[in-house]
Amino acid sequence: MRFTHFQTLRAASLLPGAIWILIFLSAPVSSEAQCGPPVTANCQAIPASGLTLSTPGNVNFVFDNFDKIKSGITMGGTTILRLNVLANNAACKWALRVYIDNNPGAGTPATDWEKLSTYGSPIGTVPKLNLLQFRVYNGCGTPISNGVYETFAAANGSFIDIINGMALTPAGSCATNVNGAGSYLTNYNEYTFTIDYRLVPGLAMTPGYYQVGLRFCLVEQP
Amino acid sequence: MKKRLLPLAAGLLLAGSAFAQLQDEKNVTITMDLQPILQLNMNTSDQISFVFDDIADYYGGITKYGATILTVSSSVNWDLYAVGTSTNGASWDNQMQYYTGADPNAVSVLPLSALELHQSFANANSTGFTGSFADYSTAFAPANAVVIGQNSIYASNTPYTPPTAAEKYIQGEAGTGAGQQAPGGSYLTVGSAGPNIYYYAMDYRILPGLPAVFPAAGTNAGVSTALVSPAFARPGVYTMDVKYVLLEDQ
Repeated sequence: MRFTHFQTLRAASLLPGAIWILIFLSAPVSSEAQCGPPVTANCQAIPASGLTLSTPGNVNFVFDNFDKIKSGITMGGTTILRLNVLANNAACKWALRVYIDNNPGAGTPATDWEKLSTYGSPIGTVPKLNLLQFRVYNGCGTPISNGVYETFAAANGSFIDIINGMALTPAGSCATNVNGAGSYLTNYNEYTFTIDYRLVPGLAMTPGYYQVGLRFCLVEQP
Repeated sequence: MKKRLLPLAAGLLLAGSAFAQLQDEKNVTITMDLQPILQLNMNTSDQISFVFDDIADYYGGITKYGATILTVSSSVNWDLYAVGTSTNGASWDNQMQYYTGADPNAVSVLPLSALELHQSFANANSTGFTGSFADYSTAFAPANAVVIGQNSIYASNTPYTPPTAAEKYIQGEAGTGAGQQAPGGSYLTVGSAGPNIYYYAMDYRILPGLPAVFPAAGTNAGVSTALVSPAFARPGVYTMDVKYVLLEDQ
């Protein structure tokens, strides 16, 4: 009987610790679920390192005449990202990836833009996620698809790798996929990323107000 | 007590190590405001004059071929109709009389339906139409063999109220059912194969006849609205307004 009581106490004492672990580990994961978490600590964490968005966080495309609907709108240099990655050791390496998010919690079909409102009679096609064209570039051409328009797969959570974590390419090489420690302050052309967006809806789309989110994730790579 | 604190400390240590790794995220929200687009362009003159100063003009009428060119671009389903209107929505506005004689048969109340239209391509979306003529696509009948109401313009004093299913549409039809609207598109992108429902060359004709009673004027049910002899049109200046209305089918 006494032994049983001891076991009960021990189980109870383990519970708060387990909860603490879950809380602390899940907090960053749930808010940035698609970004991480990393498994190594070769780079310094926030705020020593980080990703800075130096442009507005809202990009609004207004299609209010036929020419725009048919020919599309390009928003050049609308988003500029600046990276600052400080190393804990020489193995510091990172990746930069962008995810598309259509707020599926609101009932948005996985393939579509989130529809905020519809104008007139809802006849036509709701825009798919692959409608958004995305182009990233910088002075050294470090992005994997530098200066080339790409589209996301038409599925919530699909992503495009801007810089991957395959092999370490150090700062200063001014080559494709620079992903070592460095900063836009000292290597501007490698650690600054300019992004253009383009939408060409065409005449078959249902008029309305739509939205998607882009999540730019900077994550250390092992 | 030590045993109770140990898991807590381990948890804090693990959590601390998670935050010490490089991971950052920034978000951009992209919104797309897709507004409904309905563009009707008319690059031709907005003034069309018919001058009847010869007896042949009365007998044979005057036809203005291609006097109006209409082009449509739309991102939604649409209907297009023409409507003749005036102060009372039924007869031409008499701006001036060339003589003020007391002849009771010389009347200045001329029906708007005296104006005839002809469109270059037929209405391909007139499902449910109940009148005699679905559109203005039939060629003008000869002056000596008129078809009453066949090309007479739809007239109304409420021009922005769409015509009923019994009236003519250039494209589309009253209602929102299948086959009662033209799909979104543009005259710029439709190829040369087949009829182009986004491009219309409009012809106009006025056939007074002699005496000037406008024998072709009629309703869309084929009922004559011509002046009844011995009445005839009093010489003068008359005007009316033709509106081309492009609207979303909703």
